[in-house]
Amino acid sequence: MAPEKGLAAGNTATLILKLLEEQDMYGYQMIETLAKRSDNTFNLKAGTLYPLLHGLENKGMVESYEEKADSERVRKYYRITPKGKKLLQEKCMEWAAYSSAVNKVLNGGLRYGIV
Amino acid sequence: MASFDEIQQYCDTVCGQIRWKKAKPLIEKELKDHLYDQCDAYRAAGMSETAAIHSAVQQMGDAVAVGAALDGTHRPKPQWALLGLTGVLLLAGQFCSAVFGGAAEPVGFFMAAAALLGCYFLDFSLLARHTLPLYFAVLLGSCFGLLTGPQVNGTAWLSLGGFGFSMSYFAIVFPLLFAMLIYSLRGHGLAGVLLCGLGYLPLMFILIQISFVSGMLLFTLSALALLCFALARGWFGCNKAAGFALVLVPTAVVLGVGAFILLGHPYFSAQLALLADPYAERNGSGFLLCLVRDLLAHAQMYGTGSASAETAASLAALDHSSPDYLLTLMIYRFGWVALFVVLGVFVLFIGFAGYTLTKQKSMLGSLISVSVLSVLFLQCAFYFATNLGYGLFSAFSLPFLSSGNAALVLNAGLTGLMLSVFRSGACFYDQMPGQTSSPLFSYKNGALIIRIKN
Repeated sequence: MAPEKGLAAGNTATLILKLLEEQDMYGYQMIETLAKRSDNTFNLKAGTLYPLLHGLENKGMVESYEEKADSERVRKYYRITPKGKKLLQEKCMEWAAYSSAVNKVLNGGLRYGIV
Repeated sequence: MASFDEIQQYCDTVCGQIRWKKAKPLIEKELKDHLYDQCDAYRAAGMSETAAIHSAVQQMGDAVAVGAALDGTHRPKPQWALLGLTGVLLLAGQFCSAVFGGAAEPVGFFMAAAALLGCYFLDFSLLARHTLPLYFAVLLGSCFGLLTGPQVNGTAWLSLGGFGFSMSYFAIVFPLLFAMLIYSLRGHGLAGVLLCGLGYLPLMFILIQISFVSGMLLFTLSALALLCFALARGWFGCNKAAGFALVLVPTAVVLGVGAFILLGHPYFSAQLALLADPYAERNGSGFLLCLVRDLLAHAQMYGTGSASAETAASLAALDHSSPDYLLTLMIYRFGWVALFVVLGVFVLFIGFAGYTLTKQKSMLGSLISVSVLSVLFLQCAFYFATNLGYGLFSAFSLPFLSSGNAALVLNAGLTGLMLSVFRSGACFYDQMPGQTSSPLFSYKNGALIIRIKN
């Protein structure tokens, strides 16, 4: 079941940064890896990815370089910067706190008045 | 081919939403690479070429929306702060000309402003496309100037259609040329480092013939800074320790031999003795140095200094040399606070430019910026040393402030070029030698592909 759009949108940058933390990638590779890892839950459109990537690059979270991916084409790869790693760490902690709080509510949480 | 037109149409629609022209080719290439990868995946899954292309384009999303989103992330970065500081310095230079030189120099001011803005809006990547022709053109032009130009006060001058300027100002431009040479030899390993060293020699030979020691020193120090910067960043693609050894060992040897020769030369050893004790030659070659030190010794924190009548009467000698001793005159007339203000503005300018330089991604942009900053910094350093009574050689100019149209226009043009890099450098990608987007001929899936355009 695909998640509600709003739920995914706010965390897309975090997901991309996580992928880049493990390995430098180019755009198409990020979309494929994300889809595969999430069992096709996250099917990011390229038109969403590239503005996001370029925005992250403007903010210094990632940097790009050109390299030959195979014998044919020179592609634009992205790698995460130390600033991006720091942001990723913060976002992961935020998500952990948020998802923990949601789980507590969904799983019952504290009950008052029981002696 | 009609199918591939769909890809081109999509990219054209996206790029049509992007206002900054320089960003379009890079974005188009990235989108096309993605579309071709997606097509390959669909074809591998069994789709026909037409269906694969159509699906890949659909998968991208609405072209207008994508283009609008990319337009928001791709804008030139106007350098208002540094442009403003440069403008303030240019106006301050006019004020200084009016106060100390008797009249402002509007022609020089407007030429400098035109050079600053012209170079600011210039596409700096043009320099990378014509490096070697530019190098040899400047070399040949310099040789022509040396052979045919007049000598004025022992320095070669260049005369062009009624306009003349001292060829010593070539030293301000040579570091930029050397930066371009380094850029053209990137990725060539130790051979590239060696060739850069060889490329330095003809330019240095020109400066030796022009006979301006400050110029030789400025160019040498700038060239050294540029080479070390490129080596530290790994742009030659060679072992860094070997590269540094190849640069620094010969430099140390040449400097050592050069110092030995200079110390043995009557003129230079006399200059050194003068610097140590100018009062020994107070009425001879030490006159100007003594005057500068006397004026500074009697300068106030605020307001006009209180030198003796004899010293004040000699002020006319400095006034006459006002392009070289502007700071000394300012300190004596307005107080030490004038020095601190000027120093503060230059520290702010160079510091801010240096910080912006560290954010440059491209080799070309970084090399241009380092060459310009080193030239501005060294001119300031030599000028401050001379005006505080400790200059071994005559000063060049104080960028933007001291009079002299040639230096003013050249410094303004170089600054404009550096600001152009800061403004639009994000859209320039360096290609390493031998790197192309794709080969001219390639064979894939039973089809022969000929690359007609990059």
